[in-house]
Amino acid sequence: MMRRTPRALMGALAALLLCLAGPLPGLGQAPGIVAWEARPGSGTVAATVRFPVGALQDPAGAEGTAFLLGRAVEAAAMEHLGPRSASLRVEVGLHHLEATLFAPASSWLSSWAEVASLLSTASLPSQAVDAARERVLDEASFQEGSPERAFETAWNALRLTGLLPSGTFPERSVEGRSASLARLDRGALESWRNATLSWGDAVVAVVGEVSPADLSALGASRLVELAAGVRGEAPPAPDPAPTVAPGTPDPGIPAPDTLADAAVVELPLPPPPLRLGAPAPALGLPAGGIVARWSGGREIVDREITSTWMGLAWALPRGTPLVLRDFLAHVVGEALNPSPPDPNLYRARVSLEEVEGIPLLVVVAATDPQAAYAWEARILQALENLSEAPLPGAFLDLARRRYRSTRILEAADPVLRSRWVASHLGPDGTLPSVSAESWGLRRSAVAALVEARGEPRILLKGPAAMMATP
Amino acid sequence: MPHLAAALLTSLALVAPSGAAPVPSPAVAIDSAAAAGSQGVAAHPGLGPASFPADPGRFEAALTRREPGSPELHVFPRPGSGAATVRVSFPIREFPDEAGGAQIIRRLADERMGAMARRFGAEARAQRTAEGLVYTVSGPASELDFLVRVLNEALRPPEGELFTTARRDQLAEVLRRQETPQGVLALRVRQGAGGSGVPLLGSAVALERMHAGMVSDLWRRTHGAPEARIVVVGDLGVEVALASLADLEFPQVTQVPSPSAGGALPEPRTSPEIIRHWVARAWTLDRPRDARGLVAVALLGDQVRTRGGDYELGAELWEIGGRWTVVLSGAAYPRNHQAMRNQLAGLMDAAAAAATPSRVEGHAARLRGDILRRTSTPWGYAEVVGEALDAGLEPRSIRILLDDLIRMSADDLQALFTELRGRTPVQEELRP
Repeated sequence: MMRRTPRALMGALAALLLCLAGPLPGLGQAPGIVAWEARPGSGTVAATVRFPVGALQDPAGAEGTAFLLGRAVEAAAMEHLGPRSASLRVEVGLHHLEATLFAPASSWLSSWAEVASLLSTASLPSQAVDAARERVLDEASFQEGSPERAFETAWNALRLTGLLPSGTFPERSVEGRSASLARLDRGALESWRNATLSWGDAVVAVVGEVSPADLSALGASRLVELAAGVRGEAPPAPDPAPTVAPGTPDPGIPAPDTLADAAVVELPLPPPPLRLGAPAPALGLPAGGIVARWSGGREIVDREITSTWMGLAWALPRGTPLVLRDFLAHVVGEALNPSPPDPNLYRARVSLEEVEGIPLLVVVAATDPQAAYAWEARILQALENLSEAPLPGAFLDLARRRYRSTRILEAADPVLRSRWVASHLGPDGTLPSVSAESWGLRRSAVAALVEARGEPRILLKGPAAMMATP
Repeated sequence: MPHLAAALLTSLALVAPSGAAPVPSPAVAIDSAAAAGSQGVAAHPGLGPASFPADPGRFEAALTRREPGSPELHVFPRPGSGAATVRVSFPIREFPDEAGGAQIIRRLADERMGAMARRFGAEARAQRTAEGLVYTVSGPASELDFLVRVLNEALRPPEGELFTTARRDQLAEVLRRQETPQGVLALRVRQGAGGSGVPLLGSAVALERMHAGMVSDLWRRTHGAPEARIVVVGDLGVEVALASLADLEFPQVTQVPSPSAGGALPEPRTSPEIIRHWVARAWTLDRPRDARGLVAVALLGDQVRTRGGDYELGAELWEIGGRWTVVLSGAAYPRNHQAMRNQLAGLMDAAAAAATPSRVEGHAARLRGDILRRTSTPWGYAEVVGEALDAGLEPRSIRILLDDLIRMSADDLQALFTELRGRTPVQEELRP
C-alpha cells in the first residue's frame, strides 16, 4: 500500500489533470456538483444522480415517458452491472429522476460510467426498452382505473394548482397510462432524455470507499466533501418557562394521547448524549410568510370504492430550515401512526415536497370510509395541537431524540444516505446536518412554523354515502 | 423506518428464488449441532484465482478478545456512518423438557428492550437462532451508553409474573405450526438431516409442563458473561466501545442443574389433515459455507420458475447442524402428484444441464452483490459476522465466501450436482 503523502500528491495531480481534461470517456456529461462522504473500509460505494426534472416534463399525450426511461435504463444497465455485483435503481417522481448505483468499491467507477452513458448520450438497447415497456404496460393495465391511481392523479392536480409554471399540467400519474405508454419507443425515450436531462443541473452524491481520483474523474464543476458521521455538539439548555401574566388561567399541559405517552413522561429520562463544542443555534423561521398564490380548499369526490383516500397539504414559509420542516413531518407522522394501530386507518404517510421553491407538508392517508371524516379532523387537529399547545419539554426531548435517531440510522445505510444527500444538497453545496441541527429545535419554533402554515388543500375520494357525518 | 433488516436466520443467504416454496424454511433457524470453537474455512480448492481482488480489510475486527471468564468480544469500527450496532449472543442447548424455554426468554426480552428502544428511536430485537439467543440494538454511535442500557434491559432475568402469557403465546405458535404440513415436514427434514431433536420453536409437551422456575434456571445457566459473544460494528473507536461495554450487566454464573434428558415425554408425531401430497428432499453439503450451495439453489430456482403444472415446487438452502442443506419440496393434489414427483426428481438434472458459464457467473455475481448490500449497514454487518461466529467460524469466512463467488465457474457447479446426485437424500413426505 502506498504511503499517504505520495498518494495524496498523485491524487491531487490526477485531479488537476482530470479537471482540465473533463470527464473520462463514457462518464457522460459533467455533473454540476458532486458531493461525497467517505466511509473508509466499507468496501462499497453508493452513488446517486438526481435530475430536477421528472414526470411533469412528460410530453402531452406521452405520460409515463420519464418513468419508462427509468425502467429501460435499469434494464439496460443491469446487463453490465450484474456481472460486477452492482445494482441500479431508478426512481421517478413528478419533479425528479434519480438513479442510485450500489457497487463494490473496486469497480464502482466503471459501473458508474455505464449508468452515466445511458443517462446521457448512449443508445438505449432495443431489447431493454421493449422488455421494460412490456413490464410497465402490464402494471399500467392492472392499475388503470384503480382507486389509488385515480386518487394520485386528482391529488397531484389539486395540490399543485397555481404553483407550477404555465404549460405544466400536474393532473397525471407518474407511471403513465396504457395508451400513452404503448406509443413510446426507443427514439421517444432517447429524445426526451437528450432534451430534458441536463447533467449541468444534476446533483451527484457518492457515499462509501472512494478516492479523490475517482471523484475527480467524474469531471464535476464543483466537488464538495461532506463531513461523515455525527459531529460533536452540545445539547440545548432546557426551554425557559414561559412568562405568564398574573391572573392568566393555566392552560396546563395537554394530556398525552395514549397511556403509553403518559408512561413515557413519568419514567426518568436517560441523560442526553455527551457533547463537545458550542450549543447548536436555535432553528427559526425566516422573515416573510406563505407565498401569495397558495390558497386552501376542500374537495370531495364521490366514488364507489371500498376505502376513502385523502390528501392534505399545507404550504410552509419559504426558507424554513429543512431540519425544522423535517422534524414537523416526523412529529405529525408519529401522531398519525399510533401504536397499537387504529384498524380504521389503512395507511398514513407524511412527507415534505418542494415545488418551485415552495415547501409543502403533505399527508396522504387511506381509511375506512365510515371513519374518513373523523380521520380528516384528526389530521387537522394534530397540527392545530402543535400550534396551540406546543410539545412540552419532556415530549419535545423524546420526539427530538427519536427523530434524530431515525435519521442517523437511515444515514448509516449508504444507499439511503446518497439519496438523501442528492435530494437535499443546496445549490451552494451545503447540506443540513440533522445530527447537529436537531439540537437547535425548540418548542417555540415548531409552534411558530405550524402557526405560519397556509390553509390546507384537502381532497377526499371515496363512497360519500358511507362517509359518516362528522 | 430504515432500519434493521429482517433476520435471515439460516445464515447468509436464504435463497428462495422460486418465491414461496411449499415447505419454506421454518420461521426460526433450524437447530444446529455446530461444534464449539472456531473453524477455519479455506477457499474452495477447485476454484481458480479471483478475476479481480476482493475488497481488502473487510471482515477483520480491529479488536478480538477471547479471555476465560469474560465475554468474547469483536469490534469492527466503521467510520462515517454515525451509527452503531451491538449484538450479544449466547449459545443455548435445550433439553427436551426445556423445549421452548428459550423462546419464552426471547419474547420477554424483546418486549422489554423494544419498549425502551422505541422511546428514543433506537432499534432493538431479540431472536432465537439455531445456535442460541441473540440480542441486537442499533442507534446513533454517540448514544452507545444508551444502547448498552437497552441491552441491559434484555439481559434482565425473565419476569416470572409474565411467564404464563408468554408460555401461552408460544404454545399457540407451536400448535399452529404443528397443524400445517409445512411445519411438520420441516421438522422431520431437519431431524432427518442431523439437526437437533429438540424443536427450536418448542414442543407442546414441554411447554404444557413448563413452569417459570425452569425458564429462570435456563436463563441463569446460559446468560453468564463467559458464555456471551459480543459483536460491535459502527462509527466508534475500540476504546469507546470497551468503555461502554464495561457497563453491560450479566448475571452471576451459577451451577444450575440441567434437567434430566431421560425424563421427558416424547413429542407425539403429528400428522395434520391435508388434501395434497407434500414431499421434501434434502442434501447436506460437506463443507460449512460452501458457496456452490448458494449458486446451486439459484439454478434450481430458475428451473422451478419455468415449470408449469398445477402443483407447487420449491428450492431453498437451509442451515442444519452448522452446514448448508439444499432442500427441494413440492405439493400437489392427488390427481397430479405423480407429475409433481417426476418434476421434483428431475430438478437437479435439469439445473445441472442449464448450468452454463454465463448463468453460473451471473448468479454468483448477484449473490455477492446481495451479501455486500446486506453488510453495508452496521446491523447487517453485525448480523452476518455474528452468525458466522455463532456457527463456529471466523469472520474472514465471509470474505472467503465472497472470493469463492468471484471465482465460481460452471465446472464447480457440475461437480457439486454430480456429488449430490450420487447421494441418497433425506426424504420425507405427507400423504392425504
